[in-house]
Amino acid sequence: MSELVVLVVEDEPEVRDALVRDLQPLAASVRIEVADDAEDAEAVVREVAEAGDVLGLVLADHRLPGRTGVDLLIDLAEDPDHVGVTRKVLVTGQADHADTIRAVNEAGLDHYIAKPWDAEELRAVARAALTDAVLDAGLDPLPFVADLDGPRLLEAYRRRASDR
Amino acid sequence: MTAPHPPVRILVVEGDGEVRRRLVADLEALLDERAEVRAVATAAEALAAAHRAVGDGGLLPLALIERTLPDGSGGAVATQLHEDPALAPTRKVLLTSEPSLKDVGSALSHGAVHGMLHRPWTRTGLREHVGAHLRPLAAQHPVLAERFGDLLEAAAGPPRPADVEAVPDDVASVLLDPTIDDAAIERLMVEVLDAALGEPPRLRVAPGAVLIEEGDDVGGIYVVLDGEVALSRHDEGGRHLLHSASTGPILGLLSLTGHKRAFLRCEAVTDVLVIPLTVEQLSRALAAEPRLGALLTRVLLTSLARRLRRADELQVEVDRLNRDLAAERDELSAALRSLAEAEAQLVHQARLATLGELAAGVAHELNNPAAALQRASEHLAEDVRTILGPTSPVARAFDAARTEPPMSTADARAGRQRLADELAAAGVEDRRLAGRLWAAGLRDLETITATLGTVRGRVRRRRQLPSAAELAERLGPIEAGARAGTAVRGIQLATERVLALVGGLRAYLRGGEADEPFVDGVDLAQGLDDAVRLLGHRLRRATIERRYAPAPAITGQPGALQQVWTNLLANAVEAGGDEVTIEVAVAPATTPEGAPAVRVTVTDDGPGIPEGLAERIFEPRFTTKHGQVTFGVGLGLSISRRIVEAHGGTISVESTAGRTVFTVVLPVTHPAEAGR
Repeated sequence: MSELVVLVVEDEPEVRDALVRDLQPLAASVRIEVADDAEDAEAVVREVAEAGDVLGLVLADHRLPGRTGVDLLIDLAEDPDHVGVTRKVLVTGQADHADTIRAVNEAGLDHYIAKPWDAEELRAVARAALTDAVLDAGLDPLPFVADLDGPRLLEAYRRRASDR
Repeated sequence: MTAPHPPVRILVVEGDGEVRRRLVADLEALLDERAEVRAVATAAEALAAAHRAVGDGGLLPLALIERTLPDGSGGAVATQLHEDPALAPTRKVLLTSEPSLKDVGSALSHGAVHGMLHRPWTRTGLREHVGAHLRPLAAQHPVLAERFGDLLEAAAGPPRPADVEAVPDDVASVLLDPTIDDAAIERLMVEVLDAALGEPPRLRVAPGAVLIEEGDDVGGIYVVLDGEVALSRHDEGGRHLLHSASTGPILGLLSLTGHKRAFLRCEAVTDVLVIPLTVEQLSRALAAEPRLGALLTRVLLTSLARRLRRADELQVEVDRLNRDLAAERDELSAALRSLAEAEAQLVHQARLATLGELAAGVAHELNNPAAALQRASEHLAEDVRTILGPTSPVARAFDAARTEPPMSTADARAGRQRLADELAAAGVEDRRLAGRLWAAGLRDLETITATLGTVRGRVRRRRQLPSAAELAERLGPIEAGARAGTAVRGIQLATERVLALVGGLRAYLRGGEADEPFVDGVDLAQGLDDAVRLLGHRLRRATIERRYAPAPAITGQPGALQQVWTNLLANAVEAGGDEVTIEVAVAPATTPEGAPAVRVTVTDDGPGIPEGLAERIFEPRFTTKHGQVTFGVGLGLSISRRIVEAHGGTISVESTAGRTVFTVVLPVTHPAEAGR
C-alpha cells in the first residue's frame, strides 16, 4: 500500500528537528522525510516516486546551501510524477518579495509560513494541504480521517461510495 | 606800504564767482600788495579792463583768462588781447580744468597764449607760473626785477645751457651717437623746441588730471618736462595700467601720426609740467629747425623701445599667470574631487558608525539571555537525566539523541532503509515503524530486541523480536526520551550559534584586538607559519607553498595579525575546497607614501570571487552554511581589514577564475608613530 509522505527541507538541524517534532501528531498516518539541501530533497522525491508512494507536501526553507528552496519548488512543479498532487509550502524567515512572487507564479506556491512559526498554524496548513493531496491522488481517504481533515475526507468517501 | 610808480597790475578773467574769488585771494597773498589784482567775469569786459590797466602808464605783465567763459572762449580773448599792440607784451595764461588742446589750438598757434594754468591750482604751482611769466618782461622793466626778485628767483628753473649749437648738425649723429645719453637728448630737444617756437607755454597739472582721454581726437602732443604720467586703458575688466615708468616724455604722437583717436588715457600721477604743442606748432618747429626731427625721433624711439620692452615683460607675465592659473585650476578640481570622495566616505562611515552602535547594543542585549539559555539547557539535561535514572532505556535514548554526532539527511535515510530491510527480513514489514525506531535511537535488530523484546522461556530469559503492534506500543516512552534529547540538543546548538554571532559581532566592533599593545620585532613569516599550524586540521589536505623573501620585522599586534592570517587561510580553504593549493608569500615593499613596508600575499587556486563581489567582500556580513555560522567570508574579512587599517596598512583582493590573491601591505613603522 502506498504511503503518504511529507518532505521537510531545511539545512539547520535544530530547526529541522523542531519542524519534524511539530508534525509528529500527523506521523501515525503520514511518513515524514527530511532533506538538508535541494539536491538531497530531489533524491527523496525520486525515492518516493520509485517506491510508488505519494508525496503529499513539501515544506521548504528558502535559504539553503546551493540552490534555493524556491528553485526546488519550481523544479518540483514541473516534475510530471508529482504534478497536481504535491502541495508546496515555503517556511522561511528570509525570502524577499521577489523570491516569494516567483514562488507563487512559477511554483504554484500553496502557502507561505514565516519563521518563527506557530505549531498549530503549521499543522493546520499541513493537514489542509495533505487532505487535498489525498483527494487529488485518489488515495483511500479512510486511513487519514483521524489525522487529517476528517469531515472533508468522509464526505469524499461517501460521494465515492455512492458513485459506485 | 604804498605801491611805487608805475603801478603793476594783474588781470583775472573768470566767469565762476567762487573760482575768481579764490584766484584773486591766492594772487594777493602771493604778491603781498606789490601788484594790484583786477578781476572781471566775462569776455566782453576783458579788453576794456586790460586797456584801463595800462591806460595810466601801468604795467600789465600777466592776464589769467578762463578758457571757457560764459560769453566766449578764453582762447579768443587771448588772441584779441594779443592783437592789440598795447597789450601784446602781456603774458596771457589760460586757466583750464581740462588739459586738452581742443579749441585753444588756434590761440596757441598764433602765439597768443603763453601758458596754461591747470585748475585746481596749488599755491606753489601758481607761484612758479607767475614767476615764470614775469621773468621775460623783467629785462625790459627793471621795476619788475626789483620788486619781484623772489618770484623770479623761484622760477629760474634749470640753468639754460647755452650749447644749443653743440647739437650735431647731421641727423645720423643725433640718432645714433651713443655718447649722448637719453636725458641729454631730451633736454636738447626742449631747447631746440623753445628756440624754434619762442618758448611755447608750459602747462602745469595736478595729480589725477587727464592729459589725453582714451578715444579722444588728439589735437597735438605733449612734451613732458617734469613729473610722472601713467598710460592706461579701460575694458570690461576695469582699468589696466600699462605704462608708468616706461611712459617717456612725448605723449600723443602715435595717435597723431596715425590720425587715430587716442588708444590710451594719459593721466598725471604727480604734479606734471608739460608743453602742449598743436600740430601746427609742431610742423612750424620742424620746418624751422631740421635737427628737431632727429631729436624727436630719437626720444620717441627710446621711449617706444622702453614701452615695447614693458609690453614684452607684460606678455611674459601674462603667460606665467596663465600657467599658474591653469595649475591652480587643476589643483582646485583635484581638491574638489577628493572632497567629494571624502564626503561620500564620511557619509558611509557615519552610517556604519550608527549601525555599529546599534549592533553593539543588540549584541550586548543578546548575550545575557543567550548565556542564561545555555546554562538552563545544561541544567535541564542534568535534571531530566536524574529523573530518568542511570540506566533506563529512556535515559539511554535521551543521551544518545542529545550527544549524537551530526549526520546528513541522506545518510540517515540510508540507515533507516537498512533497518526497514532488516525488520522486513525478520518479519516486521513497516517502514514508518522503522523510521520511528531509528528516530528513537534503536537502530539495529539486536538493540531493538534487547530493549523492547518479549521475554520467552522461564529459565533462560531470552528476548525475541516482538510484533509490529507490540513494538509500536512499547516504543512510546523511548521515542519521547529521544525527542527530549533532540530538543535539548537543539536548544544548545541554537544558543551556541547566538553566542558565536554575538562574539563575532563584538570582535568586529572592537576592530579585532584593539586592546592588544603594539610591539616591535613582529616577524610576519613566523606569524603565517603559526597560523598554518593553528589551522592544521582544516589544511590537512591542502598544499601550502611558502615564498618568504627576507623582510624586516614590523611594529604591530602579533595576536591581531595572526587573526588576519587565519582568516585569509580559512577563506582560501573555504573558497578552494579541501584540496586547494595556497601560496603564502612575504616580501619587502613600500607604502604608497614611500615608507618601508612588508607585503604578505595569500593566493588560492579556487574558483574565484564572483564579479562585483570583490568590492563588497570586506564589508561586514554573516554567512550561514549548513547550519553553521561562518565568519570566514564576510565578517572575518571585515575584521581583518579593521586590523590591517589599525596598523596603517592596506588589504585588497584580486580575483580571476582559478586565482584569487589577497594582498596585505603593512608599514614597518605605524604611520602615527613614525613621526615620534
